Amino acid sequence: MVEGEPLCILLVEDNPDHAELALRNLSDAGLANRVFHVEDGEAALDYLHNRGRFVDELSYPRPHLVLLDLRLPKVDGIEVLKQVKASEQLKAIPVVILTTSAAERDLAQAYNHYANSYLTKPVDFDSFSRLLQDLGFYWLAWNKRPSG
Amino acid sequence: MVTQIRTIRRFSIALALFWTAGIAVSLLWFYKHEQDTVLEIARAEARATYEKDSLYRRWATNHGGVYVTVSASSPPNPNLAMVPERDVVTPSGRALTLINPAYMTRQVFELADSQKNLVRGHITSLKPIRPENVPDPWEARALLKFEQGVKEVSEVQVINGRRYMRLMRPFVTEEGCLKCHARQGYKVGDIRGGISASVPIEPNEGAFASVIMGGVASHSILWLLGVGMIGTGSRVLTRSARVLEKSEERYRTVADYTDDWEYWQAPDRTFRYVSPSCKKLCGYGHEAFYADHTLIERVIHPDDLAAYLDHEHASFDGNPSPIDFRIVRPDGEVRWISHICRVVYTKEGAESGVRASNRDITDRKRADEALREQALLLESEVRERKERELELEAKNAELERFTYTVSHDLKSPLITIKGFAGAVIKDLQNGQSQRLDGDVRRIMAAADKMTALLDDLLELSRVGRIVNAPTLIDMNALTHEVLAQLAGPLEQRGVEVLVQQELPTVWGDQRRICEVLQNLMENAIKYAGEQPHPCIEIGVRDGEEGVVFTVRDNGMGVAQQYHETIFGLFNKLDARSEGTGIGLALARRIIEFHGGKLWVESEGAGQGSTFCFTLNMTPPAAAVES
Repeated sequence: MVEGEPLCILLVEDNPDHAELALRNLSDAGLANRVFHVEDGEAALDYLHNRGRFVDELSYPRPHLVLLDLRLPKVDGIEVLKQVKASEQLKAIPVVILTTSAAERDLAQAYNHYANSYLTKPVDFDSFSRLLQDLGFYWLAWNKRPSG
Repeated sequence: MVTQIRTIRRFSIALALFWTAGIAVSLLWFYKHEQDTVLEIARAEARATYEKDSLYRRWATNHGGVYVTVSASSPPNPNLAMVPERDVVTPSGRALTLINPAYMTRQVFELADSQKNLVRGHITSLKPIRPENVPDPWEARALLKFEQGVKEVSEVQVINGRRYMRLMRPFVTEEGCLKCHARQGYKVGDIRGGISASVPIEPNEGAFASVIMGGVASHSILWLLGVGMIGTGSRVLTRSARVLEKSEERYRTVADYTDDWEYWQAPDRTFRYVSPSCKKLCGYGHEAFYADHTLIERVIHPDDLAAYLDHEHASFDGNPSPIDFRIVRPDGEVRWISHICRVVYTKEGAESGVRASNRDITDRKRADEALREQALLLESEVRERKERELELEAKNAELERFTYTVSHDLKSPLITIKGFAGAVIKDLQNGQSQRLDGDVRRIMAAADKMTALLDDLLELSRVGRIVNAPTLIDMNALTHEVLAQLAGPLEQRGVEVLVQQELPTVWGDQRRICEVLQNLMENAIKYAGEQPHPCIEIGVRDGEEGVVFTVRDNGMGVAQQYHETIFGLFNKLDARSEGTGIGLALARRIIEFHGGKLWVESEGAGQGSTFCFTLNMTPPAAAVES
């Protein structure tokens, strides 16, 4: 399926249960070979910039995909998105919003700040599983990205 | 004005009458004067006649008489019988007889008598020798007067139907007289009798009549001239008076027939003109203003007088500007006046006071007032509505935020429940059981979380509907009550608590304020962090907003960027910490409901934090009113 370098996903999710669900589903889809989970926006930015406890670039490599919740403690999802897309180094990383909110305002705000995709967490378990599988396949298998 | 024409006419008539009277008097005087002149002429004539008669007589006397030829008219005088040589005969035989002066005179007089218009003389005496010489009654009276010393008597007498000027002088005895009259006992110097002269006036009266005619004619001409001039003058005056009357009527009509109160004030502030309409407007007649010009200062409302006087001063200085003021009528009614005026100039350009118009604008003012009140009412209504709109907007925004938060936060545990339930089913289908226990616990926890969220939401909505009447809260007592409730956790964590003495009393819902304090202190304990000597200080300070209550801790602190975030509904800085994240949102809602503010002050992470709040609850009485 995918050769060469291992695929890397950064999961930003404050709810541990939701994180666990996401990790299990990604794992079931065989995509969770390298998923890093952080619980708030500040940690996400620190990770992406390799700051603080994420300073080691080998342990915390640049992700190929960011799964970003909107409602986060400290720095919220939109702010993280804004900073990623404003950064010359990070703006190429696809950022997929994965949130419970289906509010029109959040959707518009996300796209206005150059989110690559916007997904609502389905309440139904099977839908949730398939969504994460499809998501993984789409972004990590089918989607072409620049090398380096 | 009609009276003026009447005056002119009356004066003219009086003048004409006076003139007529003057002319008449003059004519009378002239007549009398002429009459006197006629008499004087007659008298002079009589006097001259007398003098001449006397002269002839004296001549004759001096010559001792004259001899004339004896004739029938001149027979020898028997009264001279004792005179020797009374009768002589000339050598040629002519018989001559001596005529004495008296006789000669009498003869001359008799001669004159026969001539109609000649002066008639008469020689007379109270003791005449000849009977012809007996005096008539007038002569007798005159002779008596002479004896009393009168030298001359003259009078107009009608004799035989004709008017005569009679003049008589005394006849004094001379030497020659004694020849005949010595026997009567006369001596030289005695008044022996008199000679009278009677001058007929008729001939002079002809001249008199013509002179009088001339006088009458000239006087008539003079009279006509005078009356004509008076008439002309009267007509001219009447005509100009009529022109003046017309022009004055025009201006008076314009000035008097006005509803406004018009006036013209002289530089000395007296009124030269006040329209009669002032009576209707201000209740005082125009005569009152003419009589006392300071009345206007009493008519103007005392509150507006200063402004009016300033205006008056400026106007007389040449800077008039319109002004509105109130007046008080005698019946106490107050009216609004709109006053405009301008400086009056004479033809020569000199300032001559101020001309003013005063209009009653009471109705307009009232309408304005009503309009303004209505406008104010409308304005306040609009403002109120705007406030309500803003309030509504804020409420809407809050509701939206609330709905959003609730939908998100309530959905979250549902996803967990369904997700792990799905995982459990899958595991059961696959016969795997190692994760079952953990997954079910997650489901239970999510259900608990949901219950907690629902409870909190209920509490939050209840805060928005608190109905407890505000009471006076002793913050000291309340603080100690809360500390007592939290005694367990405080002791467990080893927290030192400092309470500033003398916290003030405030108005508010005691139970809710208690919740706020409880919340803030619980947070202080919960987020004490790694602090080895946690400490909470409860105090009060004076800030811009008034009395500020403070709950200070030396715990984890809050970074600047989260100072607002922490008050959001279900917001937590630490996802793993206990609770739903409603505490501060609830506290803030309670404080805002009390008209106060709740905020945090913190230097940042690890620096501790101070939660501050104000309370602005009004006492019950005011609260009921509002």
